Amino acid sequence: MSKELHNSDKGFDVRYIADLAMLSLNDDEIEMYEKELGEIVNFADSIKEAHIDNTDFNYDNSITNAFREDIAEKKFSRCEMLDSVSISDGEFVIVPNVVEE
Amino acid sequence: MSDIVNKTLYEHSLALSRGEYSSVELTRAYLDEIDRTETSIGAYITVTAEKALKTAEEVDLRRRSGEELTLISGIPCAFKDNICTKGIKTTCASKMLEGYVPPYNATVADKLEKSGAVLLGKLNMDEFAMGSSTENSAFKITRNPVDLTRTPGGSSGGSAAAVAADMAAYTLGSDTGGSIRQPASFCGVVGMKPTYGAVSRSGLVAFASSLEQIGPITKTVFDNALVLGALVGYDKMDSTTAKRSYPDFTEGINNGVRGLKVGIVKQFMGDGLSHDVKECIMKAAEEYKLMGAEIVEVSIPSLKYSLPAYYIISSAEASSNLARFDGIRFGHRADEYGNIEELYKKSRSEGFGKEVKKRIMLGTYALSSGYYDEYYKKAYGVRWLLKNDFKRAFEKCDVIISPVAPTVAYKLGEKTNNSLEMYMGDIYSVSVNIAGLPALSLPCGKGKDGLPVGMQLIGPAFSESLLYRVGYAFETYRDKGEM
Repeated sequence: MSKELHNSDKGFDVRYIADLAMLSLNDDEIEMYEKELGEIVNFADSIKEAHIDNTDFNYDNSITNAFREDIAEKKFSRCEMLDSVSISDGEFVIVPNVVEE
Repeated sequence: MSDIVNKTLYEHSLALSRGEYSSVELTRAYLDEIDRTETSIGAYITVTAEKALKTAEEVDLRRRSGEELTLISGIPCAFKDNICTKGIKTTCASKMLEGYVPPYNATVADKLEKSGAVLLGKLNMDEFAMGSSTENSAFKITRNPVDLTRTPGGSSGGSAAAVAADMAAYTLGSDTGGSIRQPASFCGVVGMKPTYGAVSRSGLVAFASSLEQIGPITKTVFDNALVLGALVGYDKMDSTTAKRSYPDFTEGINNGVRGLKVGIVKQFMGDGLSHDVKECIMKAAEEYKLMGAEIVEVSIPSLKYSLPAYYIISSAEASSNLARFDGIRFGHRADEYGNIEELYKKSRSEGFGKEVKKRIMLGTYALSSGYYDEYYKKAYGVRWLLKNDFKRAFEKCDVIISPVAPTVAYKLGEKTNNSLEMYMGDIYSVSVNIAGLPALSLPCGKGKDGLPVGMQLIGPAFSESLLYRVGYAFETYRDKGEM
């Protein structure tokens, strides 16, 4: 286990999970989610009792992926795509500096 | 003209072809009804009156010129607000997508547009389809038209309420764990969750891709079969759609149920099911017997794992699917941030509501290193247990009859502070999504306080025709008053 996210003494490490999920929470939210996620995980724990052996995975051959030919087509103009972007210069999406000097 | 809105889709279809009224008149009647009742029901997020009237005018013109039209041409409908519509706001009832206008149509929107459907607008829902009462919408509450103090169910609450309140002739919803069937049941209308792969998900804002399907909500079983016929089919834009042909779902719909075996799942009828709902289901089974069907008991032993498996799989998929909302290419972007990580975190935290954040975190947890095997992999195993259980059950019966939800519609606010209790309400519906099966929800009686009770007919994959036939038999039997 790379990091213990949940144990019976300390409860749920909501702060760490929120960080993985790219969410920032205030202290009240952390307290609320500790309780609520704890309840749901306890409930979900009943799944551990399910007995599953490999013969249960009798994959159905009738279901296959229906891929299309990989052909590039121009469906949208740059202008249409940039319409949904909050900050752009009309050519590119503007984002903060990603690479540090 | 105001009373025409209570007619069924098929009645409209006949009336339009006979010239009893025009599509423009019909569209006006629905728009008037929306004007009159929207404040009390709250079904719509966006009403596209101008566009609707323009489409109706075009269809009328085509009809007058003698063009052959489909049965749904010129008839007003509305979509759940997670189905992308080109040039029309598609919000998923989330602040994250409050101003989002898609540059493309969902495949179902394209298909209906080509069939001459008139789009009245977009309907309220639980944010990103996560919820069972439509109370998780960031914008408004939808009320159950049967009793305004109660929830219409969810997550397609707006879709079911709109049909029940005559605010559209039919609507589209999406069903990830019961989100079409449960609101249909609560509002006393008909809802179909099609077989996984029958209807394209292209343009449906993704919540849990391996579970969800778009389906119709209508007043009658026959109407439902008509609409589904216009939606199904392989789509190169969705690699999970099945390459197969579909029959006309209305063909043979009145063939009755004589000789069919209707299964009752013993695990569906036990603890947790309210007395009034159970009574309605047992009475319906009794009536199927009177119509010539045989009632058999079947067993789905793995049902007890279906709810945890559902919440693990759907939240895991949600945490991946909703990772795309980063505040950059579309959706809400925070005003102030110091660096890229802060931009992500602030945009997501401001844009997503409470329930959505919870599901994302639950999914993140279930997929994280060290927990993946215990939760996600196990849940995936349960998926096969359930598939196998249903397969064995369908060796003994043709269709299964079951409750849709354990109770009738509950009061608004009753379960908002207890999400676990809310989740438990999905007990009879989620197994169908996990196994990828089709299920039809239709009214089967009145429960506590005279509120509608829905029953669910579940069939093997791609048995929609059979489900419509079995549902139609019941509806006709009740209409004739043979009870």
